[in-house]
Amino acid sequence: MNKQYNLLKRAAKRVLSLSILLTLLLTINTSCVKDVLDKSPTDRFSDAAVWLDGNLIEAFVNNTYREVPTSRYNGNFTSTALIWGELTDELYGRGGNHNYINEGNVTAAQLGALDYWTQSNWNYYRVVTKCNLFFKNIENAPVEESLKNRMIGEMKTMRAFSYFNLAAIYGGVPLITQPFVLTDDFKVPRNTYDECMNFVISELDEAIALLPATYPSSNYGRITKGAAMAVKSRALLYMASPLNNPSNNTAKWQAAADAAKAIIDLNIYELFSSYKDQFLLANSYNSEAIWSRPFNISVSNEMNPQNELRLYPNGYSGYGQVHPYQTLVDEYEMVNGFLPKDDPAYDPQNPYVNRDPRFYASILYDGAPFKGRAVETFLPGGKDSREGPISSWNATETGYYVRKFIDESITNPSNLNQGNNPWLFFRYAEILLNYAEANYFLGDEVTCRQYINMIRNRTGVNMPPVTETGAALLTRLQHERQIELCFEGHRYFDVRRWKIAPQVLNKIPKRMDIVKDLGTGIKTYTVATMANFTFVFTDKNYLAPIPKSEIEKNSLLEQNPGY
Amino acid sequence: MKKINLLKLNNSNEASHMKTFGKRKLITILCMVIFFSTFGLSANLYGNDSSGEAEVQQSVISGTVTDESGNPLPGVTILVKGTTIGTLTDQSGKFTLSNVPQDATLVFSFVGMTTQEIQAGGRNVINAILREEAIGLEEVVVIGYGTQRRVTLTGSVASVTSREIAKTPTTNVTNALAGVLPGVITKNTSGQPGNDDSMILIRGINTTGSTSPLVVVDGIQGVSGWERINPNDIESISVLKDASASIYGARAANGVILITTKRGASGKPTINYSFNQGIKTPTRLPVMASSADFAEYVNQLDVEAGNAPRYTDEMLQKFRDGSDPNYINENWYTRSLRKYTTVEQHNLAVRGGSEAIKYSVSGSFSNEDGIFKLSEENYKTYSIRSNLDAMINKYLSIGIDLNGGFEDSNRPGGGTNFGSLKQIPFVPVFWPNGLPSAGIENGQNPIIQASPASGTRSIKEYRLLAKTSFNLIIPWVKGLSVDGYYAYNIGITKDKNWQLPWEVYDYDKGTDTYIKKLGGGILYPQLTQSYSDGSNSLINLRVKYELKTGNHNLSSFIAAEQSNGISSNFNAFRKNYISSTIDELFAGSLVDQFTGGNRSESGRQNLFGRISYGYMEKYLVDINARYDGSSNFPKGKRWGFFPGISVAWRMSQEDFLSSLSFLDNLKLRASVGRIGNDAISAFQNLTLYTLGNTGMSFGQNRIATQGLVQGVTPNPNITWEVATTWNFGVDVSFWNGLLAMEADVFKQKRSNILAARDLAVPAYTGLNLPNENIGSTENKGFELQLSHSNTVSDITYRVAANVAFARSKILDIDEAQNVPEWQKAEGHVIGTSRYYKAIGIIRTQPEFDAVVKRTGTRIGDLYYEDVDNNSVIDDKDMVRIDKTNIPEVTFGTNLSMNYKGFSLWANFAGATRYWQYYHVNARTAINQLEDVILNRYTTGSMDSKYPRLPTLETQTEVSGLNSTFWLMDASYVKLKTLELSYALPQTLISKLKIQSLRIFVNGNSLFTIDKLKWNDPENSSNTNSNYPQQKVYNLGINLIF
Repeated sequence: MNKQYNLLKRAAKRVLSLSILLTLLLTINTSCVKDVLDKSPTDRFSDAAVWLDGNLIEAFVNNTYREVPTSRYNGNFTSTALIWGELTDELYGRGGNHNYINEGNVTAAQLGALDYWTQSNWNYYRVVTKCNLFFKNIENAPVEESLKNRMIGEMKTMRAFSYFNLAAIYGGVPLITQPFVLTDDFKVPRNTYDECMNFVISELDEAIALLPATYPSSNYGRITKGAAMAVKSRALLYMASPLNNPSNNTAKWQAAADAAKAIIDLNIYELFSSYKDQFLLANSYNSEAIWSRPFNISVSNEMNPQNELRLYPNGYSGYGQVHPYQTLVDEYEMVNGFLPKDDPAYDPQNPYVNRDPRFYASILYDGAPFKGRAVETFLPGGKDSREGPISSWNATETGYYVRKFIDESITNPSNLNQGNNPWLFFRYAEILLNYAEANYFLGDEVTCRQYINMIRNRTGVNMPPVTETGAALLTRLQHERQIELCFEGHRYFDVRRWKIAPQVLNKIPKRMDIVKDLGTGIKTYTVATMANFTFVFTDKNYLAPIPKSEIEKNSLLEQNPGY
Repeated sequence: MKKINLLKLNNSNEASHMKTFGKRKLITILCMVIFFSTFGLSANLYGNDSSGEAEVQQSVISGTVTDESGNPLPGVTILVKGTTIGTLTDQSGKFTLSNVPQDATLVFSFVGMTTQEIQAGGRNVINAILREEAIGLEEVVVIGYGTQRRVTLTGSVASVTSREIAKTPTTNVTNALAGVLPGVITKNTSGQPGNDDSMILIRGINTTGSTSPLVVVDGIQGVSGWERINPNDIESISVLKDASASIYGARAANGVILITTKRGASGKPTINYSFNQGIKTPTRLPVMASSADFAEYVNQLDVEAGNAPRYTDEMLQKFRDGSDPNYINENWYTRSLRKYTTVEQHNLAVRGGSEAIKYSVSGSFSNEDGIFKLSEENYKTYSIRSNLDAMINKYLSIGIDLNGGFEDSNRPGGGTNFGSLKQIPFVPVFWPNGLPSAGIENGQNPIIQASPASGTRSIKEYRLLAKTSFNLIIPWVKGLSVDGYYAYNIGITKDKNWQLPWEVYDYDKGTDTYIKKLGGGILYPQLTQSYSDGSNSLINLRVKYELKTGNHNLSSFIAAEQSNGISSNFNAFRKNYISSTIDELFAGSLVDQFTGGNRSESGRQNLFGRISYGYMEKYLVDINARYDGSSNFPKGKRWGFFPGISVAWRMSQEDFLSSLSFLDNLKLRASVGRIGNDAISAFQNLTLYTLGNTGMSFGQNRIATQGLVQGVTPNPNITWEVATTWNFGVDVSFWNGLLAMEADVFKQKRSNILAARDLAVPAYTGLNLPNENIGSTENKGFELQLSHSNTVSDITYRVAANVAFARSKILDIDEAQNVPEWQKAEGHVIGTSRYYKAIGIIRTQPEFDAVVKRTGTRIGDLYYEDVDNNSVIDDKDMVRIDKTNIPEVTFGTNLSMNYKGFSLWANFAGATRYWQYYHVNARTAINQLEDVILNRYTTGSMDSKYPRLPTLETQTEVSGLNSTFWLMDASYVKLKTLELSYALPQTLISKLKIQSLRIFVNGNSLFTIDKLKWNDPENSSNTNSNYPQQKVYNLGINLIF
């Protein structure tokens, strides 16, 4: 009895102690559940906070700006400097990084510098995504109307510009206007080129209505009404071009002409006084610049164009990354308006005299005065040749370097020490040429010549006027665009939309070999061909392939023909 | 440790205990036993006290117990056979035992040592030498929240003790684990002082998500800086490989590494000082092509580009014979790097205590230098560790631990640029007049970059950990006790990067002038400074219940834990310093400066417990479970339940086997469990935006604006990654440890894998993908360890060999479906890539015409298998190859041998079924390995080892495509550690009042056997641009007073 009682008592004690302790444990465990597990982020802003605050929304817009690709080096495509130029008859990239593309061997698995779709930087779909997120949320955001309208205009322009470029590179692409969530079906088919472009134009029309024509100087660099109109002008020009307008529907040309004329009629823009200096930091927002994208590597950790580092010749401690072909140099007219090949006065052993002033502004050639000395690409021993004392392996392979865009005041160029020159997405000269082109195809050759000659007559260029008619005028028009806008990212698209790529790009590009007699100082100039590759352009190359990885993920995406 | 021996003592002498002690005392002892085994508070003297109460006094025996090397062994249990009379050796290995019958047999036992019986035979002084056990059955193994004797262990746990760890001359714990822990894969990819952690994987790769094991130091999870714990302070390292890791729940799916540090033992204080001085030298440096060989290659490239070759035969000859100082043949590696650098370590420890208070205080200092010649790079560590255990009364004991560490790392402001050591050999490191050259471009001369001319980067890390613990025996309930601890740790990192433009020179041969150039990309000095700190608190409270009746042995606990972490950082930058004399922020320009900072928090909470039951130490079962909550996941997805069960059957205890006297032990083990993995960033269920320096500089004056970037697309369903593991093992030991074997086979299935769905989601969605619970993988393998130990006359030795195999397989992954079957990841090893299958090199025109080749192929290029048989070689012909740079097979062989005072330890470690992909390329601006340049394809070559060399970093050339040709077998065997030591005889040193003096020489990574020989095979860099791994030769002494 007693024993049982003791056992019972002991058991009770045990149970009691255990329960007290367990209660204690559980109390600790549950009492602070809220504090311990309910953390909220203190290093980032929540969705709710962002879309109620005009300042944060503006910061979101500001970030979207920096994602819009330029033609410059961006870290994705290494060993590049002016990416689009390297994919045409303008520039050779040292080492031949893009040779396989220029040789027509680009594949869906390897797009290289044609990938503006899946790369982590310089990816138009990233811009689109940011815009889509913005539009989903901006409607109900309690933001002052004028700011809201401006931001809507800016974002619509950036999204339209992105789709315009995607369509120019790949043809029709999936037209996505809403942000995705994880549970969505991601498989969407491609829209047609026209669907994409119609969206682009309608979006731009909305943006144009919302955007201011000018900003106070503190907001320079933002997209203006004129910038949106410039995107529209280029977009309509591309839509009207033979590649995309096989039936030559003149209404399309009329729309292109009207869009260009609308910008001219704004009376805000005029050609800048210096062809060369318009690309410099000091002139970031000059009278010709319509959409100027600032860089400020001093404070920004964004992808860094390394402009001077990549363009300077090796003898000036640059990488000399890209080299204009002799083929391009041959296109620079003599000051009398003739091409060298047509000018009996042209001396192939003294090739760099009396050329279009834009030649001297755009190309560094043997003998060009640059940073206190003449550029030396001659052999033997030229400072900027493969026998130069500084990084000779970085020497030109064509005999030339790029002069355009360079801030000559930079010494010891590096990724940090650079000119911070802006990238001009759009400048007025292009609009004038767009207008001239649209008028040509509308049959108004007088206006066409008038506008070409405005360019040729710009201050400091003063080339003789164009007088040709008919097909010859078209050639002059195309030629003017090649010269005026060289290295600015137009040539790749222009030769395609004009459908002249098979003629232009199916040739062996040329280089210039200069040998100096060290005794007499006399230089011998020999034009040679680039021996290690040949340009090849076939019909499939009008469009770039859709990245393979995207098609693998979405069987609804139809590949472009030929890939 | 010694408390375990008491457990054994209790177990084997149950009856007499019951007579001698009151029941309450027994309860106390049992509780404490469990308590000790959990926390290592060595307050077991209570039991000893009692043992002195009984029995009849007869005689006194004293003596010293040492190991084979002559080192005194503290804490050895000495027991009079058949009685409860016993004691422990003190810190100097000495013992005194009273009340010993004249004809007694003394039993000396110690963890990890073979138990030895010595007849007293009337002697008053008995000295014993204990030797290491093959696989110590009585060895105590630390498991999650407790310890177990290896003999009763049911899970798969590998362990290594201080003796092996301290033999590897490294200042980094991660580098001491190779080869000694079966199933643990280590890979050391950098030899940079302070940055030389080895990657650690337990049983290979189990997931496409995070593969890092959980590291627990003295009961605290995820302590940063554990790699830098002084190896001399470590008591043991255990690795939980199977369901035994379930006790750590949601963080343990990749295995758990448990580190236990040394504590004090009662006895007079001993002072242990050791010093060692080492020299380090790279294990292997790439052998680059010479100027002459490289110039010939450049000539080849010139001709192919339609140019005249730039080097004449005469010039080549000058390169070759070095007769003209203008024709340089520079070896950038040997010219820039020191032949050897030094490493030194000092350790001082004082340990001892009374029965009521025990202490262990140790301090250490180490100093390592960098490898560049002009560099002032060095890395110093300072640490202090103090562990204090106190018995308040017979029910309550407490512990106070304080650890502090300081790591002081000084690196060059220009960084360590090993990639640029592949400069072309025509350029010297220094011109003949002593001026440094400008290297390839951008002024990148690695030796100047690594010198103070480029500035200095100082990284200082401070760590402090305080831990208090208690153990309370509930006196009125037999077997019940409570313990717990509170730990708080702080870590502070200060990083100050002072960058200077450095001066280098190009040489213009034409004018004989040196052209100065600034390196570093900047024109003026600049300073980046950051301060980050983190703290974490941990509360653990536990109720234990222990019951032992007859043949039943039950121990159990239930516990709760809660941790809370916070971290923050602050950084600032200024540039354009007008003077380089003061490297502080105030002196920088006021223009274009910036500052930043942020903070984040995390929390965890959980309930867990274990029940261990043993019947006659024959049938054993352990059940673990943990209910885990983490702030990484949204409400409702936060809590996970992770149970594990393991069982063991000691067949050797069965009657039908007990007659086999040669069989010491035969045990079968099996386990199954569920474990989690939550190693992802927090808040992926929310849409969050980061505000930062990511806007544009609008306006005429280009004023920077802030940019706001959206984070991952929210995944409201994010939750645990779940692993289910199975393990089956056999332990067997014969002839008293002469031969022993442990074998395990395992399988782990991982599901709900936390990975981004980037294989399946198109890029046009623009989604910044969060982790999602997708896919499942499986990993199978085995481990086998064999050991043999023996004594032949004066020589005792032990050889242990282990081999481990693990192969993973992706069962299901959300991957793109529109790909050929042979490219899918499903069904393949984790981490594989697609390769073209190289068949060979096209050498002749007929061959060229005959084979299917890729567009752009030239003679001399590789050609590939047309997998889809469409006569075109394109990306569809790439095949997923099950060869990765994570070894599938790892092995180790450890040898220890003792002869009188001499002892030898050798540890070989290696790996096979292990591949490394190299993208080989060389052009006019970049040199390549001599092997590659000399054996490249040249026109007409019918037997060149390599094809036409690719020239670009990108994989666009036919021979440079990702192909099996460049996927190299990286199998290797390394002599990871070799130590020879000599302990001076007692007779000599006792005169000097020294207890022990040991002199040793040892080395780390002394030699490597491999096939490729391009660089250290543990390399993971496909371009040879890592800080070279180091081998160490070391000389040291160890003194005990």
